[in-house]
Amino acid sequence: MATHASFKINGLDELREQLRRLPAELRDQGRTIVLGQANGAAASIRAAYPKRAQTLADSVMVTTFDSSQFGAGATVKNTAYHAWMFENGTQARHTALGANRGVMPAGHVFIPELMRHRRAMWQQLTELLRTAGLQVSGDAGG
Amino acid sequence: MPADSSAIDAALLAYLRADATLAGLLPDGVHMDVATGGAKRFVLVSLVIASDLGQFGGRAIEDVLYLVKAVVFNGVNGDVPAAAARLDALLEDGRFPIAGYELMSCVRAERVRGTEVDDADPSIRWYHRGGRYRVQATPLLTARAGADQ
Repeated sequence: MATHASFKINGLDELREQLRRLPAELRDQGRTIVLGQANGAAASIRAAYPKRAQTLADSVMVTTFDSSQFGAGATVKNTAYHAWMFENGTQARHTALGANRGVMPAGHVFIPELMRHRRAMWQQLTELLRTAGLQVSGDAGG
Repeated sequence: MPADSSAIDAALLAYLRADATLAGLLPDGVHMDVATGGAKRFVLVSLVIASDLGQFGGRAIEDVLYLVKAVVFNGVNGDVPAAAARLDALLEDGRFPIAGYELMSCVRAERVRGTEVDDADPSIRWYHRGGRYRVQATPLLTARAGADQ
């Protein structure tokens, strides 16, 4: 005699609907994290530049872009022409009047501050995914 | 007593200074932060950021990012690309001893290149080329203590 068994899982439709909404919700929350850390990095960088280098501080820009329906991004950039030289250092230089400015050691402001905030961003994004019930493995570095 | 983090800086400098090919390309030496006066072809090393990864009872890994670049004055006969390539050959997956530490990895994180033009005399230029290199090292005492447990 054949026997039959059946299972009925309640709530499956709701689960499916939640999964469908998940990417958009994660994107919105992820965007808040990304933009927050980008603006935080810009503020930290501006504050860390020497007070006499106001042009450097004023030239820190944050631009945002949404790369796709499921992504968010931001770029932190210093548009001052001498930003590279401040960050990486100079050798003996002279002003237009011939005054010797001397050697400027690498400032190391932009890169370290950006790295700190990028690391914090990864941690927050990881936490966001875990909170959503997803498993996160590996390390994005920092 | 924790390991002396300055040993990592010293080991990196010693490793670069010991290379005869690099010394031939950049004969004015390997310097930390600022070169000596009069140097026109040299290596400049500076610390960008250093962070520690802890473990129970001690420091597990020191993660140090260095800016390492060849700096060459245009008034001398210098081969900037060759010097930067030699630096990269030495440092990418480089191995060198560090007193009190075990080197875990040494890899480039970012390439760096720039030309500095003198404000008063645009014919005077300094060429900078190299990269930001990540050095990860673990203190030997911590490693030993962990192995004994």
